[in-house]
Amino acid sequence: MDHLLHLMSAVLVPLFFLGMAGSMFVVLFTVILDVQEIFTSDEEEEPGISQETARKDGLTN
Amino acid sequence: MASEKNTVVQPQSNRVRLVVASSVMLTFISFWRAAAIVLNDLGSSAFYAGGLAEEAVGKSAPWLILSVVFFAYAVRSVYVESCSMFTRGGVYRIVKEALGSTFAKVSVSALMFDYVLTGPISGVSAGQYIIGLLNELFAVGAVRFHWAVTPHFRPDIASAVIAALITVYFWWQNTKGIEESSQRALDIMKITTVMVVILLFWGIITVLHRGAQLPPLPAPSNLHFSSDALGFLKGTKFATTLGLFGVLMAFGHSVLAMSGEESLAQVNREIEHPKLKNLKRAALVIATYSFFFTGLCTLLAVMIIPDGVRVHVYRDNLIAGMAMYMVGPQFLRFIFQCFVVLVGFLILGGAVNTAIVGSTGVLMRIAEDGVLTDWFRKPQKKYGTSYRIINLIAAMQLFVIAVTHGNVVVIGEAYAFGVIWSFTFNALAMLILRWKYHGERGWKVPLNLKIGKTEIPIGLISVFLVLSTTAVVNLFTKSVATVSGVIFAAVFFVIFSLSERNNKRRHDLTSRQMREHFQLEHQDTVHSSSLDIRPGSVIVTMRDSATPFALKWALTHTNTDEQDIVVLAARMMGVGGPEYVEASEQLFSEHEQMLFTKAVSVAESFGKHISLLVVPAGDIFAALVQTANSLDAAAVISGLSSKLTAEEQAFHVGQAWEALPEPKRQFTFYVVKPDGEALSFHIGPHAPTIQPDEVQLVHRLWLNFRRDPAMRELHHSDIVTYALTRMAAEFARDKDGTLRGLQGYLQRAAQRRGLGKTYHEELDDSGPGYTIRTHSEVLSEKEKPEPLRK
Repeated sequence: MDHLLHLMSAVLVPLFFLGMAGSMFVVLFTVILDVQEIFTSDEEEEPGISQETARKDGLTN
Repeated sequence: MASEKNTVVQPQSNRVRLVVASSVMLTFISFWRAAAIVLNDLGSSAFYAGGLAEEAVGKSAPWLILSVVFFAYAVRSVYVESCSMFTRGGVYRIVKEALGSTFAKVSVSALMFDYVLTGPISGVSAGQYIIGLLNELFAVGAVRFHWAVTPHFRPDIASAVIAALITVYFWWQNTKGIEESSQRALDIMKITTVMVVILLFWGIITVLHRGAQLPPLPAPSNLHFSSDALGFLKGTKFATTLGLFGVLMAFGHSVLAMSGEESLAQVNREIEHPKLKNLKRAALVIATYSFFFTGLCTLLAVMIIPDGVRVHVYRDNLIAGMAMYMVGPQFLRFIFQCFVVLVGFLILGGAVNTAIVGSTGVLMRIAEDGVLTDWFRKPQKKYGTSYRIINLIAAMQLFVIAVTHGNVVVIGEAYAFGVIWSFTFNALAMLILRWKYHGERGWKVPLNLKIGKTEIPIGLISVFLVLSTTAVVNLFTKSVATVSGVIFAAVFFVIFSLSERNNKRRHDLTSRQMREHFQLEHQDTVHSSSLDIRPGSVIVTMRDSATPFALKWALTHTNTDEQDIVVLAARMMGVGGPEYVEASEQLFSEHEQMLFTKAVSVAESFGKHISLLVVPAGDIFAALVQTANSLDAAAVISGLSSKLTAEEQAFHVGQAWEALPEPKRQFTFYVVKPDGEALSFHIGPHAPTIQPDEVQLVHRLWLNFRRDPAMRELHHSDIVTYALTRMAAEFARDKDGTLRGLQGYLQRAAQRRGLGKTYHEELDDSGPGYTIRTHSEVLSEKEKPEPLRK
């Protein structure tokens, strides 16, 4: 059991902290992007919607 | 929005057209309301997550709670991506899309474990706050009034009783068909915000006044795990030298702080335009709120409540303990504790309901997918709700409460299992979909490294790594959760698999019969042209094949040569209700098949033609008026509800009509009683029905005014206009006075009409819908000489 736990620890701990470091950047970027987008006017179309609309209208491939 | 595709089966002469709409008839809500719904679930964890985390890992718990709250924003980012791909980007849909139905069943079992346990933990926690307050009041009362014996409730048992009562209450409400209201969620969050603001300000003042110390950072040397928190590691050599693995363990013991994220995916469908932007706004509001409420309040609690009593006395009602150790007079602290308990009761009680609604929704969703047998989908005879699923959920929740005797630690451990595994499945599925799914994607989790044509989703991988490592570690450190969670998930998985296999044969038969009898058409949106009906149609709602009296009434009073009849069946999908799949993927239950077959046989017995329409709906009244508007219907006919009076039904329809965007058409709403009597209500602005004595009154006034030579040009209509203008002015000046006067008038009018008599307008010969006239009738009316205007 102890061997298994040591092995598990050796694998999981680096992965966890690596993931945590990456997630910190995800949070940081998401907050910046969200705040930028949230304070723009609602009148501007959402990227996803505009593409969809364009496709419906046959404007894109 | 669902896909554009329209599956049209070529018509066959002997089949009835059955249009299945794929666009859900919903009322949309603002991002504030969406955030409030999610926070009712997520915010409730602030009442117990901090205490449980400190019990498990020691005084550093607040830092771990803060890190979980911080990390939750990354998890939310994954949910935003899934919601930008599928309107209902919940775990089941995403995992099924990425990993197939077997994994979807496993993930939904974990989600069910999460949802089922949300109820008991919230109910027991609400009980802990109430019992904690009562015991403190008894203790103070005993000292002040010199009682010989101090009454004292056992917190665990008494909390379990309260939790059971709350569960039974919401079980009954859901059986009756509770009205999901975002307004109620918003009201609860408003009152919670008041509490949080007071808590933070008063807490900061207390900390500054006492010069309290910050808790120790979560370094391995500062983490002190309880015996239970070691789980299967207890007794091993490894447990004595945990090192950084201890940080990972401690993080795993704090994940309850982000429970409730799944609600974001469930509420996404209801968010108003611009949907994605508003979803992000809601996510930001939730993150900010969680940071201040769950994160900072837990931090302040550890700084304010003395070490000697914090875990020992206030573990399960940490915020109440915080209120009691603020600086200031004792009576003020007591008043604030009462306020905390009230808010806790509201938000935690709401979470019990969310648990029942959410888990019912998930089971309904998979039942629609054919995973659960139709036995579960059978509606309650009187209320039309999925009572068997509600009974099952409530029974499981009561079982958990009884088995654990209201032990928050045990329930909390198990709850964390469901939370972390459903998140892990979701993140894994989203990772796979980065390569597998090539459709529309409005948003991506940031940090995407592009090498040539390959994109490496570093951000998504990072989130998955944190979730999966935590989930694996929790398997070892949460022994009760692992055992109970695995058993629960395995049992549910077996039930789902057997049920699906058994169901497949039945549904193949049902589908074949449906195809034989009905001309199925899947339409994205509903229009008169899609049903091949004329404007001015009559919509009849039908819920139960055993009571088709509304349809019979409609068939009796409608000349189908001039007006088309559409029988409408709504598939209910409320907030927290089932996820939505394309109509073409949905299976018809035996109940629906019986409903349509009955409708057709009734119509055939009258020798009249009908069209059938199925619409997915979030709110029945909104669905009704939206469909009526889309079809340009002149009348909507409904049976009398078992829960509402005809007037209440009409009021709700009227409210839904008011919320419709322009252009909108007025229509007549008929409520048909089982004895065949029908009450009619005009929906939208309309000329009131004026009684002969009221006409007489106007005429007498007109005669009197006309005596004045200056009133030569006066018309009857001028009198009505003048009276209404005066009434409007009076209402603006003295609202209460006008209302009182009007109430007095209504009482007198009711007495005149006699008790028990309901005022309603008589149906004329023209059939349902006051605007319905045949073309020839309209022409002949136009040819009539216009009455002289007095």
